[in-house]
This record gives sequence, C-alpha cells and structure tokens, in this order.
Amino acid sequence: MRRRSPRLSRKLSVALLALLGVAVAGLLAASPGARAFEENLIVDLSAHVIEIDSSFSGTSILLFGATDAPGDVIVAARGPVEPTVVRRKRRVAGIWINQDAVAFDAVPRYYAVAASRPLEDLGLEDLLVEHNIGVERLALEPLWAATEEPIAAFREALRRIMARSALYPTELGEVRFIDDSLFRVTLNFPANVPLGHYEAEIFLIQDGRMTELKTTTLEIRKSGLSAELFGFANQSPALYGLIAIAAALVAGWVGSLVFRKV
Amino acid sequence: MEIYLPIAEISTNVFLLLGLGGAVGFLSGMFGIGGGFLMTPLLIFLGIPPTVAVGTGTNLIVASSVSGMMAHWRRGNVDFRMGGIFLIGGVGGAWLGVWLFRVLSEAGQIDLVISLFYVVFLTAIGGLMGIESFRTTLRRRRKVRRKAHRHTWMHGLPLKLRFRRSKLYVSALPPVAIGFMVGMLASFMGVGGGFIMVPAMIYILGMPTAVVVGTSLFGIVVVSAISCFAHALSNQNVDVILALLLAVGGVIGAQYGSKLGAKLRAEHLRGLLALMVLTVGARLAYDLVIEPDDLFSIALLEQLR
Repeated sequence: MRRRSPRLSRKLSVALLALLGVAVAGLLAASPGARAFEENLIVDLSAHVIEIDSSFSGTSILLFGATDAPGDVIVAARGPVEPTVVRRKRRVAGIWINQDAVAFDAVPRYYAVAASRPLEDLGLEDLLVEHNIGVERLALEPLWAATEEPIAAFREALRRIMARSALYPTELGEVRFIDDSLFRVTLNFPANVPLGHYEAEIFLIQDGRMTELKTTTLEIRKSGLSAELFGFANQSPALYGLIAIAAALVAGWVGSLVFRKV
Repeated sequence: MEIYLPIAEISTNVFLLLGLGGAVGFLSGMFGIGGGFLMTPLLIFLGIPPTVAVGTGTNLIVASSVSGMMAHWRRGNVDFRMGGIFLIGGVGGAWLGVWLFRVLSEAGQIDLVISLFYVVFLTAIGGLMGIESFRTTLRRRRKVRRKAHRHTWMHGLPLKLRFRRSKLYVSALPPVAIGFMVGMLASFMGVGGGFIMVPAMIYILGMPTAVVVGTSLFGIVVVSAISCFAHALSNQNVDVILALLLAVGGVIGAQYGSKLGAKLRAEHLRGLLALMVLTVGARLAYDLVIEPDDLFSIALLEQLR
C-alpha cells in the first residue's frame, strides 16, 4: 500500500462520512424497530468508476460504511476474473525454456483484503474458507495441467507473481473504525491495474459470526484520449493501422524538414 | 511526468521514453543503422509487453527511416521499381511473421524465439562486422574486386525485369525473396531489416552501392509499414503514443549522432557498431543461459486481445 489517496477525495470522504453518520444515527435513534431500518450494515464507495486517462499512475478509492452495533468488518475486493496460464521454465540444452504449464480458471486480476483486526484473531476459519477470503484461500481451480509436478507449486507461483506486480497486495488493509459504528478503508489500485468490473464484499462480524454481507461494485475503464485510441485500435484496426503509418510518415518527414533548416 | 500508454496499458515516464528514443536515435545517426534491434529489446526490458514492443517498433521504424529515405530520394538514389518488388515479397513475409508471432505467443514461446533470433542474428552480424573492421584497420588499403556484370546462378531464373536505376536486368524472384525475408523479420522482431537487406542487395543482386542505401531505406519504409498494418489489424498491438514519443527523441538524437559519426573513421565506426551489436547479443544470450530469478511466469490464456 504505497500510494496515498488524493487530498480532495479525502476531504470529500470525510464530509460524506459525517453526513452518513448523521443519517444513520438519526435513523437508529428515531425508529429502532421501524421496518424502514432493517439493515445492520451500510456501505458505499467514494467513486463507482475509475477513469484511466493518459496521466493515470494509480489511485485509491475510499470504502466507508456504518454498522448498527459494534463488530468487526472484513472487506474483500476482487477484479475481473480471467483464465490464466502459469508456466514453468526448465533447462533444455543449456537454455531455459517454458516447459510445464497449468491453466487456472477464473483468476481474479486484482485481489485485496482489509479487516478491522488481523484475520487470524477473528477465529473464523470456516467463514474465511467458505467465502474464499484472503489470497491463500482463493479457489484457483485448474482448467488443465501439463506437468508432472504438484499443481500447488503453480498456484503458489501465481500468487507470488501477482503479489510482485502489486495486484495482490500482501499486506492486510486496515479497516478503521471512527467510532463504534462508522468505518472506512482505503483501497489502493496500482498503475498497472487491469480494466473491468470490480466487486467488493463487505462482511460484518458480530459476536463471533457473520451477521451481514454486502456487495458493492466498481468499474475501471479508460477515458479521454487513451480510451478513444484503445477503442479505435480495437474497433477499426485497419483504419487505425493506416493512420498510425500516416502519423509515422508525417513525423519522420517533419523531423527531416526541421533539422534541414538548422 | 508519467503518461499512460493506451495500448501497452502501463504508465511510464515521458522523459524516459524521450531519452530512450534519443539514445537509440543517436546511435542510429552515428552508425547509419535503423536501431530497431536495439529498441525492441530495450522496450521489453522496460516492461512494455513484447507484443506491443514489436508492433510499436514497426511503426517507429517507418518514422525513423522516412527522413533518410527522403534525403536519398532528393539525390535520385532510390530505385522505386526494385522497392516495389521488395514490397510484393514483404507483404507475404509480414503476414507470415505476424501469424507466427501469434501462434508462438499462444504457445508461450514467443519471448524465447525472439531472444534466440536476436542472439543468432546479432552474433553473426556483429562477428562479421568486427572481423571486417579489424582486418581493414590492419591493412588500410584493400582492393575491392567486383566486376559490373558477374553472372551467377541468379541470372538463370525466370521472370526477368529491367531495373534502370540499378542498371540491372535480373529475375524478380530474388528481390521478392529478400522482401519476404525482411518482411518476416520486421513483423517478427520489430526491426527494419536493413542489416539483411543491404548485404543482400550488394552481394546477391549486385546493385551499385550508390543506390543501395536509398533503396534499402525505401524498402524498410514500405515493409515496416506493411508489418505495422498487419500487427494493427491482427494483434492490435501498435501504440501510437509510444511510437510518437520515441520518434521525437529519435529524430533529435539522430542529428547529434550523425554529427559525431561524420568525425569518426569508417572502419572504427564499424568496429564500434560491431562491439555494440555483440554486447546486446551477449546480454540476450546470457539471459537465456543463466537460471532466471523466477522459473514461473503467468499469462492470460487469451493473451492476444
């Protein structure tokens, strides 16, 4: 967790939190038994869309919420899932060559967990396993395997490589309670964050069991010039190719003109 | 200043890219080479995905070769007819190269094959150049024995065409084959292929030296443009922003490089170039031979978007 949230979004989120706090407190005080308020967990994100433009170098999003009574909160955020192949090199005739491979189904391209206490301290191993909370509990089912070795080694390598590229943050994020009911957590997304649909599951733990599970979604997409270029390159690749060639021709020609005069 | 590259999908420092373009441009201006064989491995070292490095390389070479080609054109040193024949072979080679690229990417062997190609070509060419420059330095006067019309096996081939600018009457098949070879290398390795084309034109076709450089630059421009188009069409891996930044640095760097190059003696230049080519080749060979830090690597199953 290296990047810090921008100052503006922090101010905004504090304001939102305050507003939310007032609303929740009001609801709790006014009608404890009313049908209107049956939720014991409310959550939201400071933004539901991250737009990647040409100046994007990573960002963070604030997830905040309120609970009806004191408890612990676990947040698990995952990115779009894709089948992913893990390859292992072997030495053949003195050269290291990709030889063995295992493909895993539905590998999240981003995965981060945050909690108000270290997961081991919660004593909820069953729950963690059931909901695949934590990188080491991600399902990662093999699609096929072309190796003699145990698949576990490949699964381990997948986790390690994703952690190295900052897409599976190794440190547990911190869910911070502002008082007994209001909490916040910062989700960090590095510059190489994959595009797509993200989902955060928020678990509320009270008296040693899960009392509520909420899901909220986030969309990461390109915007501005980079989105248009990307869309253009994919939708009309022939025209894009021609324009790329024309741009290169003009650039080289202009360059030669500029320096001929000097 | 960071910039997000829309096709490479990573964010990189603008000045790093300008500097990289400038450094490679400097070397290409100094040695009179395209520099693709340096740029593509450097981009991969930088973390640009190999597919994007190669696809963008083809686009960059169009930009960096066109100004040289224009200069030769003005002096009348471009045999457009010969270039046109290269183009015919180049189309086939480029498509084959792009197809091979895709197949090998899916098999997870593209990085290995690209590295092997580089090691073989760089070592062979660097070695030959080094030996030649060493010999020339030893005895500075060397008689070049070359008759205007040598008859070889090549002249027995059908489909003869007259190339007035090159003062040749030869079969169209060898130039088509050269174009094919260069097109394949261009689309496969992201290089211009001048290092293949120039010797082939001199030694196989027997073209006069005066038109060789201009015509090879023309050939490089058209073949790279085709490869660029093929990559854009089938792999969507040409990043115009990346190419443009590298080209700007390259154009500036090349000016200073050519000034320094003019001050050095030709055989010393060739010796230096040989040293550089061998260094890049040795580095790539070393990476293939030493045990990697991590034996494992990952890729999306449908890697090529």
